[in-house]
Amino acid sequence: MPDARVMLISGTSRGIGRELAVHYLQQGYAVAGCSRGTPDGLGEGYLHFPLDVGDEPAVKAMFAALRDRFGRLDVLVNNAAVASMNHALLTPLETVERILRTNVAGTFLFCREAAKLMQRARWGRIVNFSTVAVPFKLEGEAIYAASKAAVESLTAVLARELAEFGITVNAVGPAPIRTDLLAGVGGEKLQKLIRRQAIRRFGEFRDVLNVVDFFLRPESDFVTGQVIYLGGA
Amino acid sequence: MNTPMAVDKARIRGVIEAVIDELNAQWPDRPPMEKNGSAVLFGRNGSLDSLGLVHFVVGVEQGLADTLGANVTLASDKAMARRHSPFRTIDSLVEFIAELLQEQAGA
Repeated sequence: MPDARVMLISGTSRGIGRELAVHYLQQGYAVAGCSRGTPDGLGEGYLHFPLDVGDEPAVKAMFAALRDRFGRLDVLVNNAAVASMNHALLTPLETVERILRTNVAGTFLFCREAAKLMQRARWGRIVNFSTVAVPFKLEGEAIYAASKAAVESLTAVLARELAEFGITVNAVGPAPIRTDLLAGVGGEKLQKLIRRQAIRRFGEFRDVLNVVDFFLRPESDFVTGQVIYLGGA
Repeated sequence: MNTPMAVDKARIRGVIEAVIDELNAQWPDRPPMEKNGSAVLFGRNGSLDSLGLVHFVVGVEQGLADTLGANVTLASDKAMARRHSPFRTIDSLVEFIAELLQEQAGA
């Protein structure tokens, strides 16, 4: 592999994660990704690890493999997430544990292991994923929103802890985008959510790419601990 | 993961000493850390503060991966739960790492 910058994206089997992988492969990054499923057609330059992001031994093995193969990691995009759109009174504890494991523990594990690799070069960029469900305090998304609020706190604290290693940590909070994550959400509920945004439309993949691109720009080395919400939350 | 079958404490000590050399070079304004096996690294009268310990532990983990092909997490619940911290001295850390590697080899 040439001296391309190395990026790891979680949750690349579909949706935003897959779009991110396609975009950054086109930008010349060496892209590694992971998900429980396997994405099709990402082609040359893409390296996939099938795993559950909350499985610590599997995650550590993946980072060891990245280390052996590339000797470095420049960018981590923590995109993998699960959601459950239910009233709190109808949410089983198993669902709560599953969401927290993937969205919070998974994000933490990836940040921790990525930072260990990044600190060797005293440079790194971590981009986490939040959601407008946090500032909107959406009813019916108690645990999903709580998990993403935790990701925001994690982002802010890690930004401070990792600054001295030359690593920035930021988050993007997408507005609703037509992905599988929203498959179970009713049309009227989505329209109601969109009416709360300053700009009333669905988000597009390009909106997310734009924010991630901004965090990765060399000129953004003084930007850390921030959450950018799309659509004007 | 490439786990060594036989745990070589001398190589573990070598990894730790290399990290100490590296950190001493990075921190010329601090009193240098000693490579004496019984010198206190962390805790009361230790040469590392809490942030220094972070750099040290990450450096040793990376060094173990580079030198021994070992993928270990030193800051584990097991380490924290011990009455006597494995990070107290080089000797105690060598023993702790050897134990972890032995467990990995037997797993």
